[in-house]
Amino acid sequence: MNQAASPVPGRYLTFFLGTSYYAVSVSEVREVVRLCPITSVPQMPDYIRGVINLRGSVMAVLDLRAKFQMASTEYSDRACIIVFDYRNSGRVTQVGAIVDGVDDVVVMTAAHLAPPPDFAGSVDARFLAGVATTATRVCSVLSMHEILSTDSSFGLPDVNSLSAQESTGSP
Amino acid sequence: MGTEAEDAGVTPVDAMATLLERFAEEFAFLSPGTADGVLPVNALLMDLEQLSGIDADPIPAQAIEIARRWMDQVLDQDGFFSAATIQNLHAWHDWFLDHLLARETGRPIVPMPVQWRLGDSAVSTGVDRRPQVNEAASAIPTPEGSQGPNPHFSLRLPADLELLQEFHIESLELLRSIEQSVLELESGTAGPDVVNAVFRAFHTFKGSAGFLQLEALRDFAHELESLLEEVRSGRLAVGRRVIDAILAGADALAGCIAQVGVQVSGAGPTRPIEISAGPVLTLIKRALDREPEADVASSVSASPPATETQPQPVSTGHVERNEAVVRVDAAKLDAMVNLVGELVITQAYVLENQAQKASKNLDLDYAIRKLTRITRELQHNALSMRMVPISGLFRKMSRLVRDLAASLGKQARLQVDGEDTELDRHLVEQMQDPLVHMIRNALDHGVEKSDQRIRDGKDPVATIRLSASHAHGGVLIQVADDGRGINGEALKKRAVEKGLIDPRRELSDPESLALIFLPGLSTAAAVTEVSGRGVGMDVVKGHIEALRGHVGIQTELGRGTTFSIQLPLTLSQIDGFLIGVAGERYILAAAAVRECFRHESQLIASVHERSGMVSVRGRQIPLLRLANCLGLAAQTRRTDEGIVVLLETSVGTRAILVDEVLGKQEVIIKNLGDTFAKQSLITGGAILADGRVALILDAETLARQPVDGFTHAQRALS
Repeated sequence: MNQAASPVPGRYLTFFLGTSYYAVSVSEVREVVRLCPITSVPQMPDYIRGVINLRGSVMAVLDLRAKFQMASTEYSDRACIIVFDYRNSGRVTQVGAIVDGVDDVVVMTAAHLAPPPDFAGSVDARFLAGVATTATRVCSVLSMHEILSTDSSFGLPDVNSLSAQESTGSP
Repeated sequence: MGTEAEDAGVTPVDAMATLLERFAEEFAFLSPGTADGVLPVNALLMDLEQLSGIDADPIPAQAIEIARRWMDQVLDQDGFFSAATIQNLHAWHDWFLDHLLARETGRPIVPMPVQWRLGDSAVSTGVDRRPQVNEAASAIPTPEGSQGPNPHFSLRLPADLELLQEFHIESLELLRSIEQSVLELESGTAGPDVVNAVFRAFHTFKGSAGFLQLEALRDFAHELESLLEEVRSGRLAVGRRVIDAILAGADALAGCIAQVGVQVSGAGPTRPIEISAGPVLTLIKRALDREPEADVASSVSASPPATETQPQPVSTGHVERNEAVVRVDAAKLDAMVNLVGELVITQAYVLENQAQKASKNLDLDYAIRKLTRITRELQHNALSMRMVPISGLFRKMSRLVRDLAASLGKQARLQVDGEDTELDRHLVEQMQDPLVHMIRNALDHGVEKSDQRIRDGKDPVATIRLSASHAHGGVLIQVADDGRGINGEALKKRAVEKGLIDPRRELSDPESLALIFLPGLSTAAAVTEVSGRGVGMDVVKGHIEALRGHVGIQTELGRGTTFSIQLPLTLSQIDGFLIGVAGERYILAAAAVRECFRHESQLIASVHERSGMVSVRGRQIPLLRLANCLGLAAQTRRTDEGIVVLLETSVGTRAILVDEVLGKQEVIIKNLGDTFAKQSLITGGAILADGRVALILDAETLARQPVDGFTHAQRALS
């Protein structure tokens, strides 16, 4: 990850978890859907909330609060699921993330955006692509791809498949 | 990992020979103009490279270096094999194996064909200007080596686009039929009608190429047609050389056709297409020149000249299908099947809708029932469209048996039954690897060499029987050989030696046989386990189970072994058994559920207050509390509530305790995606009538869960 680079200017979707505000590039966002009943999946880490029916396909839903180790709360009626396009090795899959509420879509210019500051370890900065400062507030810019791909559960080949074994090569 | 190579003191020569056999297996799937098999072949070559250092003889190392150069060229270019490279690799493989055999038996060693060492220009992968392959195959330098450049042709695009598209599709079918016919010829059971079929295929090819003014292609097809004409007229008997020439010709044509496909689809620039004609022409010449060979006793003498007017009985049970066929993009078909799945769910939702139920509107009621029926029929139709006959897969296996038997120095024929049986396209694709491995095993370990078979009073030519049929609501595929059979006792001894089972354990015959599916026991793994490519029967079993199938085995010493694979018709839906646990709904495959009953508490014994056993007709069966296992807060803490479901699995009967049984329902399986790819407990999701997702549990994985589910769930979370 390139620590020194600022996020790319463009349109950003802002949302919040409790009192913290976040921004994600709209290029990563597919849509925002209402919070709906989630089927939990057993034997998974707690930040994987489960799966939902997204117009006929089954989509995994993450709990960003749990992912960022924030205290869990009851979801209000502003809570919703942001559906992200996760691109990995040529395939696009949809992954949802529950947020407390969606705020706005803002155009961020280079002047708004800066690399992430050094939190000296107080905050896990792996998922931060930078910070965005607008007239009203400061948002953390998230790298959703980083969040999804650093998660060990994502993008791994199916252990059962023969072809996966074939490509393993020598031990 | 202790390798069998070390255990048994396998020499580098044996190890290399084993790897070369694997090559033969992969080679069967190489086709010109595609990247099929590049990675496996490359991996095998890397395995060989590791071995070459150990061997004292410098020649294998040189040979490996040569193949490495060819593979590097393939990888450096576009990763596609050219027909020339494939032929080179075949020749290389034959020579190499022969070299190793010669060394072992003390036969004089045939030197490596000189032109292989000439450097890159001589064995260019893309454009092959020298027919070195044939010389390599027999290691006899022939003067024909000095032929001119290969002929080439250009497509008239876009003017002939539509015609060329048709030509492309038609050619693919012709090539398939040629290959199939040749394999029949080879089996020795074919009649003159098969020779005619090949002749006609080349003839049609020639005609179409001429029509499209692809002169070079037309002339090339003409050469092949002429060869067949000789056979047809009875002037030439079908022998090894004829068959090799036809196959090489078909491969060369396939290479061109693949290129045509690329250019027609716009995936590549329009440029002249070269025909790797040289080697083929040499083979044809040799087939025509030589005296009839003595070694192909099994060959057909096509001497009764078949005239067109004389109808010949169809020998192999091929059913001619002349129905109109529409080609549809597979992705479109999948999309349609998915949409129909949506429709079924939505329809069920309407049906379940309480407001509608309450309305008592008879017209509406009637309309909805009609909708239900139509939807079901539509779903059935949509699914059937994705069904393809298994014949394509079986055909590939005939090629495999041919090449592999030859490389193992054995004689075998493949007998195919029920090739018209249809199943889901995805299943057919997924079954290729398991079938290859089972056939390989059968040829390698099951089938004896001819001399042994003669001593045993058997037909010197072994028969591998591959059959498909409808059974138990799915498809049954059987791979049978008439070889030596599997000795269950020997298997058990081996499993004990390897510490895989307790020596004191009493095993029934079927149980001993089932040991073959244990990881690390399979007889086939041998050397290649060193390189992490060990693919034994355990992997085959895993693969089949991933397709929601089962594999069984029957054997009779001295008479042969049969593997039976039971598969569902489709991967996209199952007959679901809906259960409720802790307020969540889960689905089990109804096929795995044997029975369910509201239990009586005196029949359940608890162990450590966690796990338990349930007594069913006097048998003690391990009881798994599903809520514990899934890490859910159980509603029925006490074991005297709830329902016991008995599951039939490959590790025996297992009982699970659930809160309620909600009924049986056909469900469409939805993939959960990469997020959950690492675990095997949940095989998918299904959308129920209320629009919510229910997870599908894998009974096999459930059966392997520790009975004290708590610890497991906690371990998984930590």
